[in-house]
Amino acid sequence: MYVLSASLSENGTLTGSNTLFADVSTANYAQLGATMFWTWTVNTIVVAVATSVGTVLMGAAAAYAFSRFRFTGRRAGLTSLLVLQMFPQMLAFVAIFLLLLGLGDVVPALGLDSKVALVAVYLGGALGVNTFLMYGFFNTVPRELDEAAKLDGATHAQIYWTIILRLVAPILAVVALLSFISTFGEFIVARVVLSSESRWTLAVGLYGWVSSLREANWGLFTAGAVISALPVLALFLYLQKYIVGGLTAGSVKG
Amino acid sequence: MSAPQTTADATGVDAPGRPGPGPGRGRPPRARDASHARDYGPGFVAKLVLMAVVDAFGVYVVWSAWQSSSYGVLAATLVLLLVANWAYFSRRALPLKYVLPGLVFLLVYQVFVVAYTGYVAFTNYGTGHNTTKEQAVSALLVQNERRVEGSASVPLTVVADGDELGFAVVTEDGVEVGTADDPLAAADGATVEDDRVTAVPGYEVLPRDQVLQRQGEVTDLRVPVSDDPEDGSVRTTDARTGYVYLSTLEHDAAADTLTDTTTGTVYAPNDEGQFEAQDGTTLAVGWRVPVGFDNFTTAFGDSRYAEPFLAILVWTFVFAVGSVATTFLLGLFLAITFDVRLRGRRFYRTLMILPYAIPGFLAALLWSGLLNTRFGFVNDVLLGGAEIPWLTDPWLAKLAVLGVNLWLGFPYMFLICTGALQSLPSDAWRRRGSTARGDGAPGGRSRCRCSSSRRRRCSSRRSPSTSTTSRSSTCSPGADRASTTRRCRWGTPTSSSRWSTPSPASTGRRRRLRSRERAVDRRVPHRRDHLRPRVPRHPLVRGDQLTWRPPQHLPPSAGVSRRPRRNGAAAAPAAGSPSSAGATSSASSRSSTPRSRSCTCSRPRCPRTAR
Repeated sequence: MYVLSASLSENGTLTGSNTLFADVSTANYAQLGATMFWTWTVNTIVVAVATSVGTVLMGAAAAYAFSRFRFTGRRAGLTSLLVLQMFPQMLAFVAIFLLLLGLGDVVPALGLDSKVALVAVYLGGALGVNTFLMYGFFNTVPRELDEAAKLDGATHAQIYWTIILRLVAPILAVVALLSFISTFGEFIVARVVLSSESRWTLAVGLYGWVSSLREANWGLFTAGAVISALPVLALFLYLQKYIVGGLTAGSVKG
Repeated sequence: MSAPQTTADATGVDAPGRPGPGPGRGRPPRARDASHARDYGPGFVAKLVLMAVVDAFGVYVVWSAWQSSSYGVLAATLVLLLVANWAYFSRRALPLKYVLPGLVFLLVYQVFVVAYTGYVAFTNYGTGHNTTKEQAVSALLVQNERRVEGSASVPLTVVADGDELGFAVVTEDGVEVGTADDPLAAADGATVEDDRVTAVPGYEVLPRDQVLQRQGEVTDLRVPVSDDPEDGSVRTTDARTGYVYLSTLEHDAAADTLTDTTTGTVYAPNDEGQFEAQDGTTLAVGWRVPVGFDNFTTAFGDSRYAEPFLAILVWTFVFAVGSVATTFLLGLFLAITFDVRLRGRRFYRTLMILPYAIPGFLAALLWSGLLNTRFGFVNDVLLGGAEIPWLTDPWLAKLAVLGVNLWLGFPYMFLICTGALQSLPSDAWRRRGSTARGDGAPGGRSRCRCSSSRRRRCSSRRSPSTSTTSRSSTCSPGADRASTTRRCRWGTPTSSSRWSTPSPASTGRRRRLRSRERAVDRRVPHRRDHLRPRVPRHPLVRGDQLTWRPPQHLPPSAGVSRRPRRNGAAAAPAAGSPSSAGATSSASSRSSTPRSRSCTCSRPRCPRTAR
């Protein structure tokens, strides 16, 4: 399963270099510096972090509203969210392209070949499923906590920011992680939106290295793959305690 | 509206600053006595600043949309701006404050995009038809430019503005400069020597050797004479002399036709978004028109498209079902395996997640290399040089795709299952384990059965707040960490439901259902359960319903109070059986006597019947 870790440090650049760790060298890593790899890495991390932060903020806010308030159109809103998230965004890339083309005439920052636009597209697509995920979790937080806080004189914003968000931290971590990972590896929309090489994400950039089988640069590619797997891995290890812990269960005792 | 600033909830309680257009600050919905707009705390200031930023951006968008006459964008921005301002400065739009930021993105980038995709499906958008009619006309005029016979030639110099090339031409009025995007315009302060321009402000004159180097670009360059494509353009073949090129087509705006001035053919627009002559010949550039269901008839009617489409559709479904099933099973299996205390569990878990940490596209590409027929690692090393055509044989390729997707997907299922397993109270394991073992189930079986049934239940947990209102409707889908949607009739109780009153329409059917459910659930395990002889269960009762389920949102420690009580009245609601969800204390005390009679438990010493 972890052949990739084997092929990473080889000097040979063909797929044929199959003996694991035959010659260990960091040549491929050094070579990465000569390419646009680091620019892509920075781009990817910027886009992914922005997307996951935005997703968590907006998804949590929406889930809070759906979970705690009763308003007209609540059920309809939930249902339409459910239906909307069925439509995969990547199938709509023609329309996304056209939309960004039009928006780019007005606001260049929101047009094609812009990272802001890419983040905005991701945010639009991420809302449905994540809101649902969070909505379920928000419902498990007892309302007594809100009510108690309200009696103590907290505003709804205060309840939201200081009580609810603390309690649902595990699901926030999960959603942040999921959206980070999916953004990190997203290819189609990124490929459509970003055209200039200096703005590519890792997915688009690394794909270019091995997409043509004849001249695939496996050495570089595997080196890049290992490096690009690191952020996600680090994030997962960092968030593991949130993911694993059941914070809600502990807070009802009082 | 008079704002008593001394109310308890008005004293300096403010939200921290939020990043992004977060929800606005307001009052609890019921506090209608005070206007939150008069409550100038830091939260209000934060909201004001954020809204100012949003408004400024919105105004900028509106302004530049007006400039570029994109009226659709303009209208949409205006509406969104108005709604945003209304939502955040009105007291009545509390939920909207929270939903709006996400809703905006959802509307623009998902709803609109979906709708637009639908619209494009009904047009002939594609090569030769990707613009509007005006753009098509000007493109046609440009494409059909010819050098006008006998037209004057002008002295021309190639200039450059950065990377962009341009022409400077010497006319009677002076020097005019233009590039491909900027039409010719008079350039003041240019110096001319012997019909050759030597300096133009803002441009540099391209030296001769560079002109030769970029010969192709120079001969392809077309500098429009004016904004109107009918005025033609200046081009050159030798980089010294420019000729005016005029379009052979002429646009008659009134009749909306194009006339070829050389042949006299008149092209009129047709229904397919092209200019068509009488004899049926069309011009190359068309525009986008709605074509109704033509695209669909082609996709489904034409066997060249329909057959591959169907085959792909079927395979997609097979793939979806297959990969979900395999990833879920493997993930569940691994999650259960690693749920036990094990040395280095953390390490193994991290290892499990590793495939997930590698971005999907990388893994896919990597596998395509590993599965390479001749050089791939799988064939070459693992299978000792076998040449299995993993990716070229149709069936093996499908298998390979499923396998790779299994590898890619099981960590997610593993995460979800681990999360679900850990949300089970730990004492449930013990109790269930011991009960099940007491019933003669081997350890492994009890674990699997208990956990799977419990997980079913956690994922069908209902929203506590709707417990009285939507009893028999669908439960909140995607509850807990599993995002699956399930129907459930009864949810687990929450402590809040104890305080809610049943709606007047509660009554007969519900109570009947409840008593049935209660009869099942009242079989509460006893401490010494495992010592009892095993007796056959009631045939009508499913095995996993017989055992006690604690409310899942409560901490394990709260289980102390959930043991069966000795005094009858208190035992009813406190037993925490899911059936008493939403039952008020009055309802439960009323029904406590009949319930003990309706106990169908067949155990010889059921705690209730023994009492």
